[in-house]
Amino acid sequence: MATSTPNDIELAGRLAAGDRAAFEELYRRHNRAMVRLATAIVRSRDTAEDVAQDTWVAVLRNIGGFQGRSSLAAWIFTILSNAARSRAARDGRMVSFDSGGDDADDGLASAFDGRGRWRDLPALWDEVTPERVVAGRSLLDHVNRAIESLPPSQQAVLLLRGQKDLEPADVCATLGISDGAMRVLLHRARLAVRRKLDAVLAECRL
Amino acid sequence: MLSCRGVAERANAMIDGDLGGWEAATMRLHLLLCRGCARFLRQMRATQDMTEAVASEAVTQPEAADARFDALLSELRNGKPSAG
Repeated sequence: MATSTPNDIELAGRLAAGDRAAFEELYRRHNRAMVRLATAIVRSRDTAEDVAQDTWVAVLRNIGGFQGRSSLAAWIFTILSNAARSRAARDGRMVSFDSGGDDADDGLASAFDGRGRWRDLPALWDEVTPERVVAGRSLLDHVNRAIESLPPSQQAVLLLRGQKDLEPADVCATLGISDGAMRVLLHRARLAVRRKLDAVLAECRL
Repeated sequence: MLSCRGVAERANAMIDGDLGGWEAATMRLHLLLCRGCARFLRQMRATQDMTEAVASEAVTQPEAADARFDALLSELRNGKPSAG
C-alpha cells in the first residue's frame, strides 16, 4: 500500500488540531466518490449519504490515530467501505468484493472465431467525448448509467481506480482483495462499459 | 504471434502499463498489422478515459454541513478527547 505523503501528514495534523479548512478540503476532494462507492454497496443513495456522513464523523474521532502507514485517502475509503458493508449486512445483504469477476464469460468469447480472430471488425468510434449527446443523453451520462448497472465489486474497483489519490495497491487494501482479483474486476468492468457504449453508438450509426 | 483474442484479453493491462517489455512489443506489432485490434484498443482507451472522467467528476460539493462535524472539530481544537 502507498504510504502517506508529506501533504497527507500535514493535512492529518491540521485535521487533528480541528482545522475547519483542512476538513473542508478533504470533504470536497472525496465526499462525492465516497457517496458513489457507498451507493454501489448499500444500493440506496440516501443510506449512502448517511454512511458517508458517519464516515466523516469516524474520521474526525480517529484522526489522532492516523499513523501514515497508508495514504490518508486510503485510510478514509477503508473506513467508508467497512461502514457501507456493515450497513448492507445489517440490511441482510453480504457484499463481497471477491465476487463479480469469476464468471467464465467476459463477454468477449462470442466476438472471436475458433482461431481467435474477430468475427466482425470492431466499430470505429468517432468523436467519443464526454459531452457528445447520443440518444438524448451525454456519453458521460451513458457511461455513468453503465457503471451503476455493474455488480458492486466492479463498480467499487472502477470508482476507486479513478481516484487520483489512490494507488492500485490502496484500492486492493481498501476492498480487501488481491492484485489479481482487482485486475480481473477492472477488466470485466471496462469490457461491460465498452459493450454498453458500443451499443449506444451503434444506435446512432443506424 | 498473439491471436486477436489474446490481444483483447491483454488490452487493459496494456492501457494500464502493466505488460512486460516482450509482451508489450508483441502487442504493438500485432496492433500495427491488425485493424480490428487497433480499433478495439482505441475503444478500450476511450472507455477508460470516460470511466475515469465519471469517477473523478469535479462537482462542487456543498459545504460539509453536519452539526456533528462542528462539535468534533471544536473538541479537537480544544484538545478534548472525543467521545467514542
